Amino acid sequence: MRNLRLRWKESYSPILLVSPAIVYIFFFSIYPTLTAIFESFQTPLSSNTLSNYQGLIFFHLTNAIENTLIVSFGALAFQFFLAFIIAGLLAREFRGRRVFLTIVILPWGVATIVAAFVFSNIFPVSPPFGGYMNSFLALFGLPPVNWYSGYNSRVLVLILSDSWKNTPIVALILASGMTGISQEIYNAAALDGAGPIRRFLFVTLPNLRNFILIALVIRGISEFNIFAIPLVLVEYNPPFLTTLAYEFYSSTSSIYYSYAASTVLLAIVLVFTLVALKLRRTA
Amino acid sequence: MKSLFAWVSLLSAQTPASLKVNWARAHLALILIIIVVVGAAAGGGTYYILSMNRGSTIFFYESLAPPEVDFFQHQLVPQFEAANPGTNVILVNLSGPDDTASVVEALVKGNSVGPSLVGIDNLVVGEVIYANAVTDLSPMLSNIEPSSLITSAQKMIAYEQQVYGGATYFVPFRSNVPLVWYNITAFTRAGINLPPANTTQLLADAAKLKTAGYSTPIMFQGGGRDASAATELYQWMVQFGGNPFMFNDTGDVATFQYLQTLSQYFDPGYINGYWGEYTGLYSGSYQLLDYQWPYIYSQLTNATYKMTDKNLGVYPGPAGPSNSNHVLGGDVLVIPKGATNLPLVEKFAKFLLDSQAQTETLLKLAWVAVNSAAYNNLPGNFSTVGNALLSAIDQGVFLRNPAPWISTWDAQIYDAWTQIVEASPQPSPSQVHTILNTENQHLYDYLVTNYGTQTAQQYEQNAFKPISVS
Amino acid sequence: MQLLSRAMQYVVVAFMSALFLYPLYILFLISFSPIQYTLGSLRPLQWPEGFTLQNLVLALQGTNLIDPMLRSLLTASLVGAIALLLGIPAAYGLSRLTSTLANTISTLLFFVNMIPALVIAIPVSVSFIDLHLYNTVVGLALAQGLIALPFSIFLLLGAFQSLPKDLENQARVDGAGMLQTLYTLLVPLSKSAVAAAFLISWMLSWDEFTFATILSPITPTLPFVIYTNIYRGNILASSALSLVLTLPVIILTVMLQRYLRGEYLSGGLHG
Repeated sequence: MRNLRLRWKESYSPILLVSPAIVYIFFFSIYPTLTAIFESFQTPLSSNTLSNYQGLIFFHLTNAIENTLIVSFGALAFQFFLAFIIAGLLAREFRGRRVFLTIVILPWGVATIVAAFVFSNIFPVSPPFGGYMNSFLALFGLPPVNWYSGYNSRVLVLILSDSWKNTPIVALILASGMTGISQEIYNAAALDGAGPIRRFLFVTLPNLRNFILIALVIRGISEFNIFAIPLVLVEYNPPFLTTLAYEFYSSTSSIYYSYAASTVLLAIVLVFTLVALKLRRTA
Repeated sequence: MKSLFAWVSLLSAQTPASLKVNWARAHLALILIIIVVVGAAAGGGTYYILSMNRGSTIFFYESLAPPEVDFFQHQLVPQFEAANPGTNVILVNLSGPDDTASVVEALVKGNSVGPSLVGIDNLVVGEVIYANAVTDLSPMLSNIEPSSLITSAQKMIAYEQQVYGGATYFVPFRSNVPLVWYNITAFTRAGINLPPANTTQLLADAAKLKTAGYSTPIMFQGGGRDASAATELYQWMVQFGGNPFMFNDTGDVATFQYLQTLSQYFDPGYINGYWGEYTGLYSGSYQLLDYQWPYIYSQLTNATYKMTDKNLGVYPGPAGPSNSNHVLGGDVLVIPKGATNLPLVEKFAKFLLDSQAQTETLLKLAWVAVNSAAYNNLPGNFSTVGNALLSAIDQGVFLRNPAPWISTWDAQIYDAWTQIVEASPQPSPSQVHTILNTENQHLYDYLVTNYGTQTAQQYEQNAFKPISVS
Repeated sequence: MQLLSRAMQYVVVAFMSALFLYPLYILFLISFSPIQYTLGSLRPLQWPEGFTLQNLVLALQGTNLIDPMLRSLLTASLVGAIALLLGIPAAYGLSRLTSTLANTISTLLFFVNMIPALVIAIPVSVSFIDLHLYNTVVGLALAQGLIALPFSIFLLLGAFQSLPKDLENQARVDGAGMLQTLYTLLVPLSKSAVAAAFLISWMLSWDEFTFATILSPITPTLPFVIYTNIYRGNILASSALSLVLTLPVIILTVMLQRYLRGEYLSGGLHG
C-alpha cells in the first residue's frame, strides 16, 4: 500500500510540479494566439470572412512577406558569416581570449531599441548624406552614401543594424559546437593535405550540423519578428509583417487587419520551424 | 526519434563544468539580486505612498512634444494647483494621437477611467465617438466653454452638434496650423527675397536654389508614421480644389501630378519626413521645410540649435491653385465615459480654456488659442511664428472630417503616395489615375465590409469632405 | 609561418572587437560630446572632442526619467520572480518525468517561444482591459514572463541534471519528499544557476519592447520612452535614456557571461 502511494507520487508529482508553468503558458500564450487566429476571420459586421486578408493584400501583404523573408535570410547569412569567424577564434587558445569573448557577448545584452537608436545615428535618415558611417567613409576619402535612397540599401542597413545585436547568440552556439570537435580530426585532415577551406567544409560544417540547425531555428524565428529596428529606421516603408500589424492595431475598426497580419507571421514561423526540424530529422 | 528535448540535453550535457557551484560568484549574484529586489521594493513603496497622497487628483491625458510637456508640467499645471489647494494634476503624455484613441477606449472598456480629462487630436476624435467611449458634454458645456470662441472653434462645435444629433462630445482646446519654414541665408544667396507665394513660384524658387548649389532644397512630410504624409497631402489636395477622401477627383489627381514634378527637388530624407523633423534646416541638408507645426520654432531657436529670426524664416506657405486654406490641426477636449470627480474635471477643462492659460500657450507654445479673449492685449513683440500663424488663419482654415475610418484613409493615401511619388521610376499620368481609382474603390469596399453599405454609399456621394470653418 | 598566422589571428580579433564595440562607442560619443561634433554635424567626429554633461542635463529637463525607470525596475524584478517561481518546479519536474512526457513539454515550451510577441500582445491587451491588468506592472510582467520562462527552465534543467544523481537519491532514501529535496538540496546547490536565471530574466524584461509598447503605453517602461523620444526628434533625451538602459546590462552581461550559452538563450526569442 505504502509502496503504491509512493509510486503514485513518483509518477504524478513531477507533472504537478510542471503544471503551473503549463497553465500559465496556456492562458498567456496559447489562448491569445488562438484568439488572434479566430479574430483574423472577423470584421465588425461579419464573421468567417477572408476580407481582412484581402484588405491586407491591398496594403501589400505580399511585399511585407517578401521583405520579412529577404531581411531575415540576409541577416541570418550575415550573422552566420561573422559567427563562424568568431567561433573559429574562440575555439583556439590565445592571450586575451576571455576579453574577446566578453566584447563579443556585450551586444546581446543591449536592448533592441537602443541598438535601433544607435544605428539610426550611424545610418541616419536625416541628414541623408550624414551620420557616422558616412563620416567614417570620409576618413578614407570615400564619397558619402544616402542609405535610404533605394530598396537595396535600406534592406542592407536593416540587416547590418539587426546583426550587431544578434550575432553573439549564433557565435556562442557555434563556439560551443566547435569545442566539441577534437583537434585530432583536424590534424588528420591537415595531414591528408586539406587546406583551411576544405577543412572548414568537410570537417567543421558536418560536425557542427546540429548546432547550426539550432542556431538557425532560434535566430530564424526571432528574425521573422524583427520589429523595433524597421520601426525606428524605415517606419512602414518597406513594410514588414510586424510593422503592418502595428500600423493597423490602434484603430477599433482596423484591428482585425492586425490579427490577420500576425496570423500570417505565425504561419511563416511555423512553416520555417517545421522545415528546420524535418531537416534535422532526416539528417 | 530524437526530439527537441534531446537537443537540449545534448547541449546541456556539455555544460556541467560551467555550472559547478562557484561560491564566490554565487554570493556576488545573490548580493546583486538582493540589491535589485530591495531597490525595486523601495521604489515600488515610494510610488505607492506617493499615489496614496494624491488627495484630489485628476489625470490629464495628452500627446505633447517635449517642450510642451515641460511648459505644462512646470508652468501651467502648478498655476491650477496653486489656485485649487489640495488638487493634483497628473499629466499623462502619450506617444501619439493613435495611441490616445486606443488608450481612451481601453480605459472605458476596462471601467478604470477615474477622474480624467483627455486632449485628443481632432482628427481621431471620430474614432472614440464611434467607439462610444466619450461623454456628451452638453449638460456641462456652459461651465466649460469660454464666453467667446474664435470662429473656427464655433463652427467646429456647430458641426458636431449637427452630425451627432445635438450632442457635444468634444470642445476645441488648442489649434495648430502647419507652417512653411525656410533658411533665409540660403534664399538670399540664391537671389530670392521673398518666400514663394504660390505653387508655380515654389517650383521656380526650388530650381533657383538648386542652381545656387542647394541640390535638395525641399523637405516634405512623406513618412507614414502618425499620419504625417496623410496630413500634409490632405492640405495640398484641398488647396488644389480636391476632396482628399475621394482620392481621384480632378483636384486630387492634379495634386499628385504636381508633387511628382516637385519631388525632383526633395531632400532624399523626405520619405521618412514626419512631425519630429526639423534639424535639417539647421544642418543645411534642406532649405525649405514644407510643412511643420509651430512647436519647432522654440526647438530651433533654443540653446542647442541657436537659430534666430535672421536665418530662420516662417510663413503660411505657398497658395494652391484653388485656395490657400490651411488644415486646422490640434486637439479637442473629451471626457471619457465613466469619469469620476466631474466637478474637478470640469474645473480643469475651464482653466485650460480660460483666456489666461490660452494666452500663455499662444505666446509660449504658438498654439492657436480657441478663446478669442486670448488675442486681446498681445504684447507688441509677438513672435515671428505667432504672426505667421495669425496670417495663416486669416487666409482660411478647414478641419479634416473626423470620420471613424480616418486611419484607414491615412494608410491608403500613404499607400498612394509611395506608389506615385516615392516609386522610382514614377508612374505615368494615366497610371497615376489608375492607382487613385483603385484607392477609391478599396475604401468603398472597406466601408461596405466594416461600416455597412449605407456609409459606403454616402462616401461615394461625397458626403464626407473637409469642413470649412472660417 | 606560425608567427604570421598568429599575427593574422590578432588582426582578426582586433577587427572583430572594434566592430562589436563601435556602436557602444558611438552611444557614449553622442551622450558626452558637444552637439556640434555629433548630432549637429553632417560629418560627426569619430573621436571625442571635448567632454560635456550638458547633453544629459538638457535631455533630462523635459523628460521624466524616474517614473519609467521605477516601472522598468519593478516589472523586471517581477519577471525574474515569475521565472523562478514557475521555472524551478517545472525544471525539476521535467528532470523527473519520463522522456516522452518531458519531450512533449519541452517541445511545448519551444513552441511558446516561437509565437511572435505581436500575435500574443494584441489579443492580450484586449483581455487585460477586462481583467484590469492593462497598463499595470503585473500585467506587463505576466506577458514578459513568457519570454523569460522557457529560457529559465532550460537553464535550471541543465543545472539540476549536472548534479550527481546519488546526492538526490540519498536524500530521498533519507525520507525527504520531492519538494523538500528540491528546495533544501537542489536549489541551494544550484544557487548560482538560480541567480543567473533570475538576473537574465530580469534583463530580458528590462530590454523588452514589443509587449511594453502594446500593454503599457500609458505609463511606459524605459524602452518605449526611448522610442517615443526618437520619433519626436528628441535625440538627446533618447541618448541619455539609452545610456541609463544600457549601463546596468553591460555590467550584468559581463558578470553573467558564463551562463550566456546558446542553448539557454533560445529563451530570448521575442527580443
